[in-house]
Amino acid sequence: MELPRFAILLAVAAFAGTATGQEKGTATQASTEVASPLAKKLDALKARFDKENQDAYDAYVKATTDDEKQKIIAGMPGKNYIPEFRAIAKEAAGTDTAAQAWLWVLRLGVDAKESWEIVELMLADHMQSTSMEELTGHVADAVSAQGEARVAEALRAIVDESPHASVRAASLYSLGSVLLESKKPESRAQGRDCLEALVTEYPDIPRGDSTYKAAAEGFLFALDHLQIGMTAPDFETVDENGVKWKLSDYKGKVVVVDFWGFW
Amino acid sequence: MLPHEKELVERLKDKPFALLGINSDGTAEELKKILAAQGITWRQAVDGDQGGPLATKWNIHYWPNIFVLDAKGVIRYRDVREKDMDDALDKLLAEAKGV
Repeated sequence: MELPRFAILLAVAAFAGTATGQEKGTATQASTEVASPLAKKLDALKARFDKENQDAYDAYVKATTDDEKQKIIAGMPGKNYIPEFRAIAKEAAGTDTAAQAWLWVLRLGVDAKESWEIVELMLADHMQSTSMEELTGHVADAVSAQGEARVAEALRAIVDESPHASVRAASLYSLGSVLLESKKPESRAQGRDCLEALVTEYPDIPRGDSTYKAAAEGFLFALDHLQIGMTAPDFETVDENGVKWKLSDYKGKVVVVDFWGFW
Repeated sequence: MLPHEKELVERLKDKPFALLGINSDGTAEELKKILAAQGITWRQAVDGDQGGPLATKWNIHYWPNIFVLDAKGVIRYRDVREKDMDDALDKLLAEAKGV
């Protein structure tokens, strides 16, 4: 059952595919129509990573013994790519190629200190970039290392300063998620405000296959109906034989509702 | 998870208890294959993929994701596993008996 790790890496690669290479050349970045040598270098590195990842996945699917599978997992591309992405990011400093390369460094996983240094660099150099959409997730992930106040300040800056609705929506979502985990009731109230603002102000910004609005609504529904001590909301569904059933069919019984998958 | 769930269903078969699986593997046909291969007998919902209607409505972002409800339908525990789930269910079944 190690497949989820592949799924995550493949999802990362897929996300990278949509989130990169689409930067609207902003005035400050003086991007030209022709890809710069560093942009090409980054593309080549991404292609090499993706191929290695795909090959490992294909080999994993074909592998028959646990030993083989473990070996493939151990040899998968990952942190060993960080130095090359980091080198491109430094060499391309100030350009969108750098922003994209730093995102790769963050995805592949660096320690909390470097992770936050990259966040600060991106806030200073890349506020105009669409790469900030993905960065907001990394900012939110830093909350245990950096504390709520610092993380919230960074996310608010992005909400206030990004010219892209997709980036502002992502940052509001991350900010809301962080604040709702707060021990302080006033922070939690602000977190709720962020999600409500998303629902009303950003109705159709895509988030993966869904939208930020739908994600925020899910969050709000969970807050209002799915906390310990609340009566579980009824639902109607259908089983594998097409037979309809409802949660309320089981009233009077102790019930385990198990959201599961066998991937 | 699965071996423990099978054990649970067997152990509590005469008690007012239900294990309800909300599955995110895809279609009914795909689920049927998995149920047969794994020997899963308890009630299932076919919820499509990971962005299925129930998973979306209930804000599910990781799997497995577990809600334990008492006999009145109140959510009492989240994401308990193995011994913790056994203890939770025993407590709720004892409560249900006392009502």
